[in-house]
Amino acid sequence: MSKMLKLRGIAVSEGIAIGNSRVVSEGKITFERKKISDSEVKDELKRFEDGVQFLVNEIDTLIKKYSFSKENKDILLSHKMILEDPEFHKNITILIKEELLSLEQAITTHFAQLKKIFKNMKNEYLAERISDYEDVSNRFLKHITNSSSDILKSVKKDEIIIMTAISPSEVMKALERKVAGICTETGSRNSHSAIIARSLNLPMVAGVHSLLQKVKNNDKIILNGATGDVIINPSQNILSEYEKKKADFLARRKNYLFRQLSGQSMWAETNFPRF
Amino acid sequence: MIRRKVKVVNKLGMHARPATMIVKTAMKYRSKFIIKKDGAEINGKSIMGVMTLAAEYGSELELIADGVDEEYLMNDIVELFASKFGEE
Repeated sequence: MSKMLKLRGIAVSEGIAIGNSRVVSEGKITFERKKISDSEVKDELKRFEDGVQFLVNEIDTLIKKYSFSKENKDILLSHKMILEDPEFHKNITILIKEELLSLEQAITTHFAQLKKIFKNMKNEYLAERISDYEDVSNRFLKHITNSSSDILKSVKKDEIIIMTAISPSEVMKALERKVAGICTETGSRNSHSAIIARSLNLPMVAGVHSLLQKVKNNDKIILNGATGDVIINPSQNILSEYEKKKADFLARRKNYLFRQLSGQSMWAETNFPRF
Repeated sequence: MIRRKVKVVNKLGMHARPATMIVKTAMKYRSKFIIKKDGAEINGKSIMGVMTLAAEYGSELELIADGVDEEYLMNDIVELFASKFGEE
């Protein structure tokens, strides 16, 4: 029997998931660091505009499809504004046209510069907004480097998906496959995928350091989406403890939803009680 | 071209929400819109620009609007600052 291992990530979407791991490899986001040629500039600029268009449409579709809380909707709209920012477009165009960077390198460079500016801000409240830009940057890179193939096709019911990063459409696919939960190595609480997992009540933990080195396929996993705890190969005691916690949580959620439906107060994902 | 001086009077300063309101408002108009702070100058229609100004409570800013509808743009923006963006 493998040794129990406890990891900790960012609590993204509440709920307890217990299941076998399914490591979904998408290949790391890597790209060559060489200059592009003048003849490739036009194509790279078009890839940029297409990418922006795709991601803006994705946000519009998500907003139409789900009833997000105002807070979550505002996050999505702010990400849309970041994508449509005229200075963002200007800077990427310069990086591609004059510095002859590929789109991947241009996006990385642009957001790295921005990160530096935010890091130097004295006001913490402002400085932490860099996470919005990181979310957009990660989403953009994942979009332009991903093949369109369905990488989740091997995933089965009640499994826990283990990935480097997950896109919003993959979260929705995961739900269709009836997975127990999602755990990613990168990501933050306000990424699009996190927001969707929350509104779908799908347990999720993000930002688990070196996750993919520590989990193999078919490891027994416990995810606690309220605390960010991830337990690999739990002992029988821990497993029983979490099975009870999970049952309690589901009972409370059901009871809570019932009270909502019987009209005692309006349903809103933001006022779901934290345990 | 018109110029106006304003002060950030809401306690939290120009964080994400007020910055979004400024950009959204400026975007409604065709005129160019620039915000200056301590010698730095940014595009007031850029959320990145407005956020990176890091204008805190008490900061003094110069607003510059330039174009066919500059007066309307300026009035709307000045009004946002005066209303403290609906905050404290």
